Amino acid sequence: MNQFCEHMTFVSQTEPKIVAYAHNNWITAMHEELNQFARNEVWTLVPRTSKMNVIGTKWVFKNKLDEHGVIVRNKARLVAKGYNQEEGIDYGETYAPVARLEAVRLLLAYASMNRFKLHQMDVKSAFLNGYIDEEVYVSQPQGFEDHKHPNHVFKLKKALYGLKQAPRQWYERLSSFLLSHSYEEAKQIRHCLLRKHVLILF
Amino acid sequence: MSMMGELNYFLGLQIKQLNHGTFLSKTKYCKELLKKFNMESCKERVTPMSTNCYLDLDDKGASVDQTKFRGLIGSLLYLTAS
Repeated sequence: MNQFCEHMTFVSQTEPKIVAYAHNNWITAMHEELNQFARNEVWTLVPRTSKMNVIGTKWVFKNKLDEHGVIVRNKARLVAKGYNQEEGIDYGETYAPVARLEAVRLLLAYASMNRFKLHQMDVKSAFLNGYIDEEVYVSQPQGFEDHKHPNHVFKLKKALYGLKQAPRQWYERLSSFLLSHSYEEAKQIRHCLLRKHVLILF
Repeated sequence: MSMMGELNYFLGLQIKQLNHGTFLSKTKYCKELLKKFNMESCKERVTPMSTNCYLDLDDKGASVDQTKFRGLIGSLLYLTAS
């Protein structure tokens, strides 16, 4: 119980609607998110010009629950307002293949037949890994504006959550990596990559 | 990238991997559905509706929350398809 109470003091119980209401725990969460941005070298600060179509950003706050419904983590995610993107300028293709349910079942059956043990992996802020081909500019995150250049905007190198091309670019990055590491795409099912005794489904 | 260990819950499927085979179950998904739509105290029925009744427009009745209803149908579709 003691441990439980101790833990509770480090997690905020409410989700703020806007940054101004955010408590200390949420500020830590926002810093964590921005650390991911720095680690992935997502963007660079550039001066704003009148020709740019600058896409707004927004903080999304979410409490993460464990299996018993207890709040265990405060998560802040910086997203782009993708609905302001213009086709042909800010994005091209947006289609991204995802695993079919049949493929999931097939994988489970195949693994069971061959006595494979399946393991699960997770990529943190996965979409921040996808490179984008278009020139996209986003506004500075609310509450974290550069005080020397408050009017500058960020030019994106990688995708952001909320951008229309984000899922496609992430798929592109992951599949090209796996294919270059001698995984082979299964002919019938997309998203099933094979290498000897390793089978990856994503 | 982080390892989440052996696969045991994926897209609503509970997966138990044993030496002689794999078990799949959707109990957890069902229970969460019931909780989400406040139906935990409901009794179970094979056919959740009387089989011989006349249906017409209920003028006085309160209209259903469309978002909630569609969410419910979608969740049930996933349950039967997965």
